[in-house]
This record gives sequence, C-alpha cells and structure tokens, in this order.
Amino acid sequence: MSPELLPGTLYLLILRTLATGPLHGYAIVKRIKEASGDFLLVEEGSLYPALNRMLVKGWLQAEWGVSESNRKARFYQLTPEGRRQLQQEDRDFRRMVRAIELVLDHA
Amino acid sequence: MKLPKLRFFRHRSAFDESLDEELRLHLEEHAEDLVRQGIPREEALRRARVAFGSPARAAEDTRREWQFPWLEDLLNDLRYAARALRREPLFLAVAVLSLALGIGCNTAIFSLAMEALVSAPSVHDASTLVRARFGGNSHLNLRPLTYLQNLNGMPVAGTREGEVNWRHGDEAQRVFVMRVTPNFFDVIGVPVQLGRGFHPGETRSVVLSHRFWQAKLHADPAILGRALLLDGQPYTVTGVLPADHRTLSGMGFAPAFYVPVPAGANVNLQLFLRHPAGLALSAVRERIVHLGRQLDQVMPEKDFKFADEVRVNPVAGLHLLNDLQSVAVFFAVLLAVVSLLLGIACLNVSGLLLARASTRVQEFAIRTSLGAGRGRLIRLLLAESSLLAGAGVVAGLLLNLLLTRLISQIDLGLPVPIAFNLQPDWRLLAYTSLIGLGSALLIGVLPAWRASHGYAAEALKQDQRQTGSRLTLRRLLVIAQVAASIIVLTTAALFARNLFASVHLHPGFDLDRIVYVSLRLVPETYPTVESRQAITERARQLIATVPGVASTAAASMIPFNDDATHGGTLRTTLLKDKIRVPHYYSRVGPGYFRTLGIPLLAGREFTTQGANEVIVNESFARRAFGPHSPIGESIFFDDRERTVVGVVRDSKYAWMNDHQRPAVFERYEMSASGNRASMLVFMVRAGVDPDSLVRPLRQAMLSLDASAAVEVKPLARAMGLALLPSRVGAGLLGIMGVLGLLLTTIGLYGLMAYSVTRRIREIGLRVALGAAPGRIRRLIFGEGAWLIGAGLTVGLIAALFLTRPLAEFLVETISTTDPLTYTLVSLVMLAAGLLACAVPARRALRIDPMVALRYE
Repeated sequence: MSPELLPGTLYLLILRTLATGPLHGYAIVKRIKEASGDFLLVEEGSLYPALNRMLVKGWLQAEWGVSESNRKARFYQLTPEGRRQLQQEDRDFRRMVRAIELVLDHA
Repeated sequence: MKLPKLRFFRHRSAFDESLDEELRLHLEEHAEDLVRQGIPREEALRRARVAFGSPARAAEDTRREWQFPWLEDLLNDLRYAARALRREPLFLAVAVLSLALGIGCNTAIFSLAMEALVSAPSVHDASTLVRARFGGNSHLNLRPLTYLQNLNGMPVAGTREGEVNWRHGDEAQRVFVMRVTPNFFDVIGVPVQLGRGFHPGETRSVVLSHRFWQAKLHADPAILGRALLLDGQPYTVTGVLPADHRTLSGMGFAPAFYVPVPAGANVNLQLFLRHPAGLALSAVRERIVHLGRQLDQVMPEKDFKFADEVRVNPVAGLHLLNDLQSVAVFFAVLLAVVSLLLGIACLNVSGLLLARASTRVQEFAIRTSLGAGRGRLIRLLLAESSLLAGAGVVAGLLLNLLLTRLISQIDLGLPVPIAFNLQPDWRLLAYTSLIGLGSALLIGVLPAWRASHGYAAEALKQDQRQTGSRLTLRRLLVIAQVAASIIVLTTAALFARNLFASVHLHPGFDLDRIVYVSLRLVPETYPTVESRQAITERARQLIATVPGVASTAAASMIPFNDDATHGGTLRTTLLKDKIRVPHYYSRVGPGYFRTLGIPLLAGREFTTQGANEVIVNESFARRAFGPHSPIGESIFFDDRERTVVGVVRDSKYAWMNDHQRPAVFERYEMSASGNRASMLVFMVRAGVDPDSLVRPLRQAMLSLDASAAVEVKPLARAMGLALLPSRVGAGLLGIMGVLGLLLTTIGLYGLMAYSVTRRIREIGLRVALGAAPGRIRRLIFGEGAWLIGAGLTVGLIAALFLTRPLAEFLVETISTTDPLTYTLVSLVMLAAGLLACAVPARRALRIDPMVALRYE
C-alpha cells in the first residue's frame, strides 16, 4: 500500500531530506521511506519532475558523482535559497497542521 | 525565475541526454537495493520498473520543467514542415519562385521610389539645413545672397545646375555641373572622398564626381592638382566625391563636377541655410523672413518683396514629395501594381496549400484524436506558411539585389544626367519584413481557418466527394487572382498603348524634319554682348547656307528636351483683374514657327526689329483674352508690358501629354550673362533627310569656332526625356503584366487539375453512361469559363475605377475608359484561361471509365 502524500508536501519532504547532505534520486526516495517508518512511499514518477522544478527555481543544485554502489549518479543538494525555502515551508506546514488539529479537537 | 529557465533552454539537449541516463541509473539503484535484500536480479528489475512507472511519462513531465512548450512545438512544426516540403520539390519550387518574384519586384520598386523621392542628400546633419525661397521666387540673385553671407548670422550657400564646355584633346564636350558658392563645402558639409572641397575665394577649382573620375579620367589616382580645361580656362582639381554622393537637387541628378560661382557674377542660385540645432521650422522661418526684410531695406526690388511668400523647407524627408507630386504619384501607381502582383503570388501559394491541406485530412483527424486542439492545428499550418514566406523573402531579397544592381546601371539616354545609386538599407529590410509578414499571413490564414473547423472521426472515412457550393474557398482565390491580374494587365495595356500613341502622335509641328544645333561657346572668347550677338548672327547665316537646310531660327529651348514654366500673375488691357496663367515660356528668333511648321493663326512672326513683343498660342489667348483677338493688345507680366503681335496654333512643347498648354514666346536675345549666356541653339528645318544634315552642320559650326562644344541631333532622336514616362511605364508594367498573367494561369491550372482529379469518378461514370467527348470538354471548360467570367467582371469594374489616376500620364488620345484596351485585356485573359484548362481537359478526356470507377 502506498498512501498518497498530502498535496504540496513533496517539496517539503525533499528539501528536508537534503538538509543533512547531498543525495541522489533513489537515495532520496529510500531516505523518506525509512525516515517515515516505511509509511511514505514517494511516487517515483513524480520525483524527477519535482527535483527539476526545484532546480529551475534555484532551490537545489545538482552534480554528477559516484553512488555507494560505485555507480554514476546525479547528486542534489540545497542552495542557501533552498534552505530559506525549507524553513518557510516547514513553518507554514506546521501552522497548517496545528490549525487543523484545533478544528478537529474543539469544533 | 525566468532567467535560469533560459539557461536551461540553451543546454536542453545536454539535459535531455543526462536525464535519460539518470532515470536508467535510478532503476538500477533500486534493483540493486532489492537484490541486496535477497531478491533475484530479474525480479528485482521488474519490481523496480513497476515501482517507477512509465519512464517516458516521467521524462516528459521532467522536461516540461525546463522547456517553453510553445517554442518546442514551433520548432518541431518547422522541422516537420521542412521535411514535408522537401518531399515535394515541385510545389516548393513553384511556391518559392512565385513569392520571390512578387517580393523581389515589390522591394525593387520600393528601393527605387525611396531613392528617387526621399533619399537624403549627402550633407552633414540634414536636420539643421533648409532651403529658403524669397518673394515667391525659386532662386535668389548672387548680390543679395552675398549680402546675407556677410551678415554674421546663419551660414548661407547657393547652388545652381549648369553646363560647361570641357575640352580634352581635340574634342569639346558639354558637361553638366553644379555651380556653387565657394563656401558650399564648408556650410553644407558634403563628404569628400579624395582631397577637399573649395576654400573661400577660390574660383578656378573643381571637385569631380566619382562617376566622371572613373569613366572619363580612368580613375587617375594622381588627379588632385591636375587641371581641366573648362570654358576655356584651366580649373584645378581639388577633390573627388564618394561614389554614393547625392546632390541637394535630388531625383538622381548626377552632375559631373562642382565648380565655384565667381564673385560678382549675375546669376540666380538656390539658397541653402544652416540654422542652429533645436529650432522648430516655424522659428527658422521667422528668422528667414527677418532676413528678407533686411534685404528689402538694403536692396529693394521693383517687382517683388523678399519678405513676401517666404518658403522654408527641410532638405530631406517627405516634404520633398510636394515638389515632386507627379513623380510620387507615378511611383505610387507602380507600387500599387507590384503589390497586386505580390497578392496574386500569395494567393497562388495559398491555393496550393489549401489543396495540400485537403489531402491531409486524415493526418489532421489523427492529430485531433490525439488531443490537438484547433489552436494547435492553426499553429501548425501557420508554421508551414511562415516557412514558405521566409524562404520567399530570402529569395526575394536576392532578386531585389540583382534588380537594383541592374537598375543602377541603366543609362536612360536623357539630356540631363540622372543616375540612381540603389543600396540596401534598414528601410528596405523593414519594408521587406513587413511584406514578408503580410504575405505569410495572407498565405496561411485561409488554410488555417479551414483547418480550424476541426476534423472529426467522420473525416477518417474516405469519402472525398464535395458537393458543396460553387463558391469554394479555392475558387474564390482564383477569381481574386483573375481580377487582380486584370487590373495589372489593364494598367500595362494603357501604358503600352500610350507609348505607341506617343511615338506616333503628331506633336503639332514637323518633328521629323527638325534638327537642333547647339553650341556651347567659351565665354572668354566672346566677352561682350555685341560679340555674342555677332557670332549668333554669323552662325545663323552659316547654317542657312548649308545645302538641304530649308530654314533656321534661334531658340532658347529645345522642344522635348527643355521645359520652363512661368507662373506669375498677369493683367491684360481687356482684363482689369489679375489672373494666373501658368505658361510655357521660350525665346525664339524670327522665322521660328515657319521653321518648325507651326501654323500662324493671326498676326505675324518676330522680325529683326521691334521690342517688347510677344507671340502667344491659342490656349493662352483663350485664357487671357477670351473670344477677342489679342493682336495689338498688351499683357502686363508683373510690371513689364508686352504687345501681342501674333497667335500660333497649340503644339506640344516639352512633354507628350502637353495638351492645350498655354505658351508665350518672346523674341530671342542674347542674355547678358547667366547660364545660357554662352549657349546658342538653333532649330533647323531640313529639306532632305535630317540625318544627312548632321555632319555638314557640325562641320560648319566647328569651322566657325573650333573651341565650341557642338551638338547636332535630329529632334526625333532626342525624344528620350519626353518619352521617358511612357517607356518606363510600358516597360515595367508590361513585365509585371506578363508576370501576373503567368502566375494567374498557373493558379488557374492548379485549380482545374485538382478539380479533374476530384471528379475522376464522376467523369468516368458519365463516360460509361455514354457522354460524348464534347460533353466532357464542356464540363471542364465550362467550369474554367465560369471562374474567368466572374474574375473578369470584378476585375474590369475595379480597373475602371482604379486606373483613373493614370490619366495624368497618358496622352490625350488614350483615355482610361477606352473600350479597346479592356477588350484586349479580356481577350488575353480568356486565352490564358483556355490554355490553363486545356491540359486538364485533355486528361479528363483520357479517363478510362473502368479505372475511374474504382478510383479512390
């Protein structure tokens, strides 16, 4: 079963995942899966469009390198602007969640 | 955010490749991961692929992030269109050729019009230079001009077109020059290629035109400092002008040199002023009127005031069109016709595209079912037509360069040197882009509009039978082509008939019997008026003794080679009010009218005695005196009184379309000074073949004065200037008429061939049912006749209205509504139409019903 991500959160998750260091595409998917306790499975078909959009927007930069399995791979990492975007989206997301929780608890 | 996107755009093919690789590696990583968990390699790969989904989809979605989709589509469309066109070389050739012809001719005429009418003269900073006219006169005498020069105000220079006698070796030649005040080069800032202009005070210097230097002096590199013998005096060459020099006179006038006007000479010059920058024209005019008032105080004139009727015009720009109105109209006509030609070419290509589009119905249906909207289909077709238009523009520009080079080298055989220097410039490019765009739209809009109706699933079925109205789009196009072609042909026919009529029209005098003799004397040899009068009389007597000469008379104007219109107000003893009668003016000697063969209607010719006499022609008499006889009456030209002693019949004076033009003749007298002071002209009536008199007359004149520049020519051979509009019009328009007819015939043929193809089954059926060949022929020709008939009707009516402005250029026997012209044009068009239908008709007759009925 692969639950759908809440809309708009893919960027947030990718940014957060890359905050600790550069990763290549598959590694990002794997990290998100593991970090969420195998709950969140990123739709791989929508990973690369998202990565490239963030590239165009200037939040990420990319470089070719070598992966753990000694294969050529393209590594993505955050730019300073990407970091700012991460903070912003993190704040916005948590605020949204709190608001929803308030409604659910007290409405 | 857009900027990084542009950066990606440039490297997009590199990104494409690396993306494919990246996706592949992703799958392998995933598979590797699964293998490490113990899953066999095959299964791991399968699961990885399933998890990923469609790589193609992912790749496309990713690419969209860095693409401009519309641009990608456009490039793809263009590539597709190019490939499709390459597969049909005949269509491509016909289309590009048609467009090239249309665009090439159009832009060539545009270049010529721009050069003749609005090209800027070669001066420094034309925006601060103006031409000024005082007192309603076009020229100003040197005395007041020098006064203005000595005022410490705006710099002033004067020019005048003129002639000199240039002697080289044993030959003397009459050469056209520009006489200028010595400060001309400083004030006007004319760029000089070699050497320099004049210094103030120089009187015996000359600046050569590039053309003269190349043609007559063999581009001698050591020309500076050498002397040329002009009018008997050595003039030192101080400079050579660049090849693209344009005079302030405009209209392609190309004098051989510039010479200074000697101080104190009694000449009238055109006045040019340089004013401070930033002044509006009205402010400049104010200052110039003020100058006029100063002149009125210091050196008043009897007949006019300097400060009256002051006209100030910039030296460059569109205002020049005011002075050159009929020339401008002529060019406007040419441009209109050549635009019609381009329109016909575009309609041709459009029709061809429509035909192709109808064979691509299947393709469009598939595209539609794959998700292409109407806009997408329209964009596709517009890309195609833009590609064609682009190719046509490039080819047309090449043709334009070729044509303008040809035009620049044409020698029109005119009495005055005129040369056009056609260079491509930004105006040409702008105009070409404009008409290229217009053509692309004209070509593409119709097929695109057709396609926008959409192609639904039904179109996938093969049934192509069109039972629609008789007025399909393609038919309308052909009708429009025929109509446009009729208009072009009518214009061409009018000019052709005009040329024919001009050559055969009787000009009102015995043109075929007349020879003119002109001598340009060396002024120094005849310093006094008396000496010039003596030589004139001796020349006349000598001419009269040459065997074969019936009579001779002096004249100031050579018919059809010179023109002078005097336009002042005048009074007569019968009319108390002043009227304006612009008239041709010439000074003629005794016996002039008898020599030319112009009948005397009343009174007498000039004699060697008498003063203040004039002879007028019947049109002038009618205007100034009504039904009364003018003999013995007086005319007051401003304040000069003249008595009318004779009335002559109207004739043509300077142009073939002179018709009932008023004329006034005074008795020939040697001018005291000025341009014509050293120029003697005689009209000679030949009792024998005029050509046989050329040599004896020449020798006689040279025996009189060997240093004179002598020209002897039968007048019939000197008609270049008079016939110029007819010749140019007939030539250019004739070519365009033929081209238009050719293009229309091709368009008609294309449509008829297509029609036959479309109706193969129908024709096969008719033949199988027993239709005679004549019936089939009538079917095809009937359709063609209907198209031509409709086009003829529209075209003839349009031509009747649109050719009205041409009346100005036509001689009086040709009218723009003349039925013969229209009949001729209609017959030509019908013939062309028959020809266009002939081949398809033959094909229709050869259709084998057995084959046809199975035809899909």
